[in-house]
Amino acid sequence: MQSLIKNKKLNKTQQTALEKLETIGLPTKKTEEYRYFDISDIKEKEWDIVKHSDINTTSSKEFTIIDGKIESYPNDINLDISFDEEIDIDKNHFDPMYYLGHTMSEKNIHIKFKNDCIIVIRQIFTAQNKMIPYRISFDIPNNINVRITDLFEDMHSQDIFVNSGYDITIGKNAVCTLIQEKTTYNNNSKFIFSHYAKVNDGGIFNLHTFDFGEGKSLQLIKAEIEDNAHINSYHLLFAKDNSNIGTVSKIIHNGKNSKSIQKSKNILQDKAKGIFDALINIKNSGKGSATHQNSQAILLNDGAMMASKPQLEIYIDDVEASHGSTIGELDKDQMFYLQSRGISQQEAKKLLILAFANEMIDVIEDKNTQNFLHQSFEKSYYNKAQMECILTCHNCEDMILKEK
Amino acid sequence: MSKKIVLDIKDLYASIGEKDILKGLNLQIEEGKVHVIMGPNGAGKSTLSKTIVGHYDTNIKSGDILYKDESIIDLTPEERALRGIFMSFQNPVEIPGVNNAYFLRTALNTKRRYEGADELNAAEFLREVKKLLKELGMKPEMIQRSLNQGFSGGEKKRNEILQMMVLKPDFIILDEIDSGLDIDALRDVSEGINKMKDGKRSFLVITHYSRILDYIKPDIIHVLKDGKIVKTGDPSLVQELEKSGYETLEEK
Repeated sequence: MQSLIKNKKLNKTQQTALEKLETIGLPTKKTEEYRYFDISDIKEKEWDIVKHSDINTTSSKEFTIIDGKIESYPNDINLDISFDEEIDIDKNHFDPMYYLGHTMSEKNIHIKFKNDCIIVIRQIFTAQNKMIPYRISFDIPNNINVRITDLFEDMHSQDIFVNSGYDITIGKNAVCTLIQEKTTYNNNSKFIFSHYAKVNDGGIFNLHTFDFGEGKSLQLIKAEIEDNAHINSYHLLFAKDNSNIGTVSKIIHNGKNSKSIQKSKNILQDKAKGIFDALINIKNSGKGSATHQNSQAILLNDGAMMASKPQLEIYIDDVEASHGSTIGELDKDQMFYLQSRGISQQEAKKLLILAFANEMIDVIEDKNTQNFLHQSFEKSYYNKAQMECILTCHNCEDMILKEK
Repeated sequence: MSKKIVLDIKDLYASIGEKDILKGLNLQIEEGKVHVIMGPNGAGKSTLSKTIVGHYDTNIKSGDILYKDESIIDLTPEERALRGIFMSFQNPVEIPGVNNAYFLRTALNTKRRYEGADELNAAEFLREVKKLLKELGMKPEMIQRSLNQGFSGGEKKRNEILQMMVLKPDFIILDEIDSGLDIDALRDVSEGINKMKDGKRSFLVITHYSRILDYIKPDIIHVLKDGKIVKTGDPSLVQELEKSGYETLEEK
C-alpha cells in the first residue's frame, strides 16, 4: 500500500491528506479505533486500484455509483453536481483512513443542494480483487432540508477494499437526514467508511445507519455540532456468520445548547463481532448542551461478540447527560408469553429480535423507506432472497379493517 | 354417567425459587364445568396457574399434572398450549415492536398446523378477527398496535379474551381476569367468556373477589389456603366466604 501512495501525483487536497496521514501514520494493532477491526491484511497487500474511464454520465432518477465512479445522476435543478479535484477536508480527523481515502481518491463527487430535496444514491460494487478509494461530499446551505437515502450492493464483487466516506457541511438551520443501508454479503472484502460532518448553528443532522449481513465493514464518524445544533444518530446492526461490523464515532459539542442523541442496537449471530465505540465530547464552549447515548446488544449464541464502549467526556458543568450499555439475551417474560400461546421457542425468539430491530426502523418518517428497511432486515434475518409477507407490512390490515 | 376429568392434579408440591408454595395440592377439573379457586393472598393461586402452564419460575418437586389423561409436567409451555391449555395473564407483558395482528395470526396458524388444518392468510384471519373485535368492544386499531404496548388495564384484559376466542382452547385459566376492570369492561370480558362455554370447554377462574361470579356462573368452588385445596363446594360457598372470610375455614 505504501508504494501506491509514493508513486502518485497529488492534487492539493491529496497533498494535505497525505501530510496528515504521514503525521499520524496508518492504524496499527494498537490504534484504539481499530482494536476490534483488523486491517493488517489490507496494509500488507499490494493493491491494484480500480481504474475508471473518463466521467461519462447519463441522467436517471437516482444516483448510481459503480465501484466508486458515478455512472448516472438526476438532472435536477435543485442540485449542483461537480467532480472537484480539490475540496476542504477536516484537518483534525481521528481516523487515518479518512486521510488515506482522500489521498487515494482521484476526484471527489460533490453534491450541492440548492433547495429542499430528496435523493437516492445506489452504490454498487462489481470489482474483483481491487482497492476502491473514492469520496463524496454534500453541501447543504442554510435553511435547506434534504433527505439522502444511500443503498449498497456488493453481491457481485470479490476481495475488494473500499475506502470511502462523506464530508458533509450542514448550514445554519438546515436539516440533513441521511439514511444508509449497507447489506453486505461478501466476507472476503473490507469496507471502511470514514465520515466527517459539520453541523452549523441551529442545524440538524439525522443519521440512520443500517448494517445487515455477513461482511466486514467499519464506519468511522466524526461530527462537530455548533450552537443550538442537533445530531440524532441511530445505528442498527445485524451481523451473522464470521462478519465484523461496527461503528466508531466521535461527536463533539462545540456550541452552546447543542444536543446529541446516539442510539445503537446490535444483534449478533453465529461468530459475528459487533463494534460500538462511541465518544461524545462536550467542550467548554458547550454550555447548556444535552447528550443521551445508549447501546444495546443481543447475542444470539455463544461465540457471538460485542465490543461496546459508549463514552462521555464533559468539560463543563451546565449540561444534561446520560449513557448506558447493555449486552444480554431476550426478555424471559416476553418469551414465555409468546410460548404460552403455542409459538415455538425458535419462532418466539425471531419475533422478539424483529421487535428489537423495528424500533430503529420505525423512527424513519418516510413510510416507503421504512418498508424497504423492514424488508431488507427481514430478508437478511430470515436468509431469504424475497419476502412476500413481512411482519411489519400492515397493508392488508388497513384495507380489511376498513371494509364495511 | 361418570364425570369426565380434563385436568387432574395429584399431590402436587411446587416451589418458586427456594420457597415452597404448593404443598400437596389435589384438584380435579371436570369437562364443561366452570371451577373457581378463591383464597387469601399468598395462598398459591398464581403459582398454581403458572405451574399448570409451565412457567419458568416454577419448580415441581413431586406430584403430577394430568391433562386429558397424560402427564404434562415435562412438556414445554408451547406444547401445553397446542394441546389446548390457555391462561389469561393477570398482568400481560408488553412487547413493543411485535404487531398484535401478526402475533395472533402466528399463534393461530401454529395451532392450525398442529391440528392438521390449513393456515389462514392475512386477509382471512383479519376478517375473522374483525368480528370478534366488535363483540369485545375493541377498536380495530388495537389489532394494529404493538402487543399490549400502552394498553390500559381493561384493554389488556380484552386482548387476552380476544386471544382466547381466536385460539379456541379446551381448558382456560383466567387468572384475576377481573382485576382492574371497570363495570363496562367486566361485562364485555364476561360476555366473551360466556360465549366460549359450550358444555365441553372447561374453565378455572382464579379470583380474589366474587364480583366476576355475578357474570360468569360457576359450577364448583375451591378454596386454596397455604398451598392446598382446603374446601370444595357448590356456588353457595361463595356467600359463606363473603360472610365469614377464609380464617374460619376448616380443612376438608
